[in-house]
Amino acid sequence: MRTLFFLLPLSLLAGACSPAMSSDAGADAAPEASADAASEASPDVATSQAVTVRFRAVVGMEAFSCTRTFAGLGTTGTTWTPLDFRLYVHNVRLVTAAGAEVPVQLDADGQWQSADVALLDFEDRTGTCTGTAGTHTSLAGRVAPGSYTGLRFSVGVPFALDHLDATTADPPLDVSGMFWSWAAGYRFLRIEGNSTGFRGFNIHVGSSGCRADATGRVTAPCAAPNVAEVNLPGFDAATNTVLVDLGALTAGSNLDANSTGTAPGCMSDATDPECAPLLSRLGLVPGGSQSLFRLQ
Amino acid sequence: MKAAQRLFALGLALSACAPAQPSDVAYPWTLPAGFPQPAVPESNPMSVEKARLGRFLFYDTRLSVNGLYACATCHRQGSAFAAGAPRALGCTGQEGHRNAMSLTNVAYNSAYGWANNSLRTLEQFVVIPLYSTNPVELGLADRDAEVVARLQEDARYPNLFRAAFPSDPRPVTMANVQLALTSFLRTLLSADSPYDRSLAGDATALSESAQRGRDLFFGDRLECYHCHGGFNFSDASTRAGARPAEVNFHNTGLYNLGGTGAFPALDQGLSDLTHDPNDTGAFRAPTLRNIEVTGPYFHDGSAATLDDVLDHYAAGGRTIATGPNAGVGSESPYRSSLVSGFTLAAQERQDLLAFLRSLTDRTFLTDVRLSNPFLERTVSVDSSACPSYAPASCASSVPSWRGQLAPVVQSRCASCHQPGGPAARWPLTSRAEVVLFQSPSLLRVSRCDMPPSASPPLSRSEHAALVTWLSCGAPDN
Repeated sequence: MRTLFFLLPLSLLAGACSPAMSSDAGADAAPEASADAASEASPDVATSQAVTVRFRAVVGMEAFSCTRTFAGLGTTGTTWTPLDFRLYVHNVRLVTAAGAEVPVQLDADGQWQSADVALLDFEDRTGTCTGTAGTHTSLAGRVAPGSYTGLRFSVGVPFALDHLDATTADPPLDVSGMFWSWAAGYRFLRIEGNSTGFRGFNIHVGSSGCRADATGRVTAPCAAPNVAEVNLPGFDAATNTVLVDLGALTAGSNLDANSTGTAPGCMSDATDPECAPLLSRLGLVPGGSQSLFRLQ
Repeated sequence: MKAAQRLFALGLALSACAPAQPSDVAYPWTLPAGFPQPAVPESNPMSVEKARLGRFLFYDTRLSVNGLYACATCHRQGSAFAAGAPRALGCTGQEGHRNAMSLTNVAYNSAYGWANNSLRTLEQFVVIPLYSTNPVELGLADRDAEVVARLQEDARYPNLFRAAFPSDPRPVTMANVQLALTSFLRTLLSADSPYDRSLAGDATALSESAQRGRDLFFGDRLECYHCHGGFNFSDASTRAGARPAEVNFHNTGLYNLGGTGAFPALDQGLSDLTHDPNDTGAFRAPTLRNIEVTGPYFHDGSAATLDDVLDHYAAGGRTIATGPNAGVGSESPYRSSLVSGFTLAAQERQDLLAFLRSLTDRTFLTDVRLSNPFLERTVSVDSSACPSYAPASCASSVPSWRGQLAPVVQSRCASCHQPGGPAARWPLTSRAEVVLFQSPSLLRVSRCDMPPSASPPLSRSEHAALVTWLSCGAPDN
């Protein structure tokens, strides 16, 4: 219970479900930007409707699994042995036919989702995977009654929660495998595997270029928030699944090699050659657009 | 003398204006004059019980994914809780790109790690060695439940955790592991060097040479004290009651690749975090206490000896003539203006080194209260039959490992302490292994607890030589 006292006021402030938030302000804008939005954003539980957003990890046309390898990845058509596949999402919104964003209030389940952020975990620590046994592949929440034709969400941890003390964080921010301690934050996206030519190719996306103030807290926006914005028009929760496609993410990458003197794979450093094609396919560099997520 | 008085006065001033924090007012800090009370987060007040638990955890290899490493593997007491290796090697064999820092007086750090301005408490910092994946250090990411289960297998831990966290119904958690570890780390206090004794009035504590070196150190020609000043010889130090302040990070001109000020690709210092070019190659000034035994030096362990370090500062930055890291450090655009170079006469160099060695605290390096508790047991020896010796003078005549002690260790220790032997878990077949177990070995040998009573005791001269050599840090001489 001790940790709750610390986090509760901040999580209220975080206001992950802010309909007013434009996509480039994102979650890594300064926390006060969304402070007043929380109350008006929360749908009334009595009148709201339950919504489930299903996700499925794939590699091209094939379902992701920890107990097999995947051929034909990247520019060299390498064979990928999976080690990890997890990501945080927040700021989930449904979009009306008229184009209005309506926030989805995530159900807090004490493990995978809080009201502010959810962990999607596609690896189950079988086979070659090294993460945790449990998986979480759908978001459960509530939304104001209505008819919706689109889905939007942000990949990552809200700014107001990203730079707090991870050791006392509440679920789902208590997963030590997602701590990005040296950067005083979390990995928003953690995909790892061995390719034919390179062992331990990491795809770690998180905020970088963060400067602490005199008290050591990161209170100003980071130089590279690296919060990917996802917009999936035509989404129908009843029939659609959101595919999370490692094959599409890595389509422009040579996974068989790593540039000398750089982190193994990509650890969010925009100057690392391995990062350029990946950040582009997450829409995190100018001219790029996300291709990790699509509807089925 | 003037400079030393200035330092001492600063220490007293710090002490005088350091109000005890209510959260840890009950903890019996034993701080010498000039040492302020360390800052302790309200969320983790000090207690003897937490520090005691933390001491076991610090030395426990269960705290690594494969059971091979403990914190103490890279933070060895005989090396003032530094690694004694250029760069740290994680439990899976992965080499990091930074030198494992000494934990001397780590309670006073205002920031943790070599170059990180957002890690301001030990509680935040210990997460890195526990959970980091690049490089893997202890490798515990996603292994929390396994570690907790492993700890519960040891009959000692339920009681230790209960005593440390009495109001916690299920105290064996990783969160409590971190709180206890940091409480122990705050007890790693070093304040009994010859220099400290000279401050306390012992006119014989410092040699003439060390006194001259002290005046050089605190003089404006060398400017050492500017970054390595204060009671802890580091400008990145704080104390209870201090107001939050920006932590200073410095580029000392260690590298200047291609004349751009760049450092080798994997480690640009603080700018890797902040993306601010002005932070390129900026690192925190570590404490110089026990600096004699914490080499190799600098963030990447790239200076083998204190002589190399002095060469670097005398030149106002290091010049590397050839190879991938070639460059003239003194011409780096990011170099601190305080590192402007100086010339040192041969005698002055010896004096400065003598002063730096006077910061070595042998009490700290051998304090059994900070040693591996798993190797302690109730010892019933006739202490009157066990000789004791005055503190060794390590500067002059340390018995030789190669000539004198290697055969003793080989015949009297390694016969059991070897693979396949009855004490295989604590191998002592080489000097490197003796160094690894330097602190408990010193404890056991000096008490005449080893060799065990079933074996003939060491001769008096063997005993004296081994105790002296071990207490001087088991040098390769």
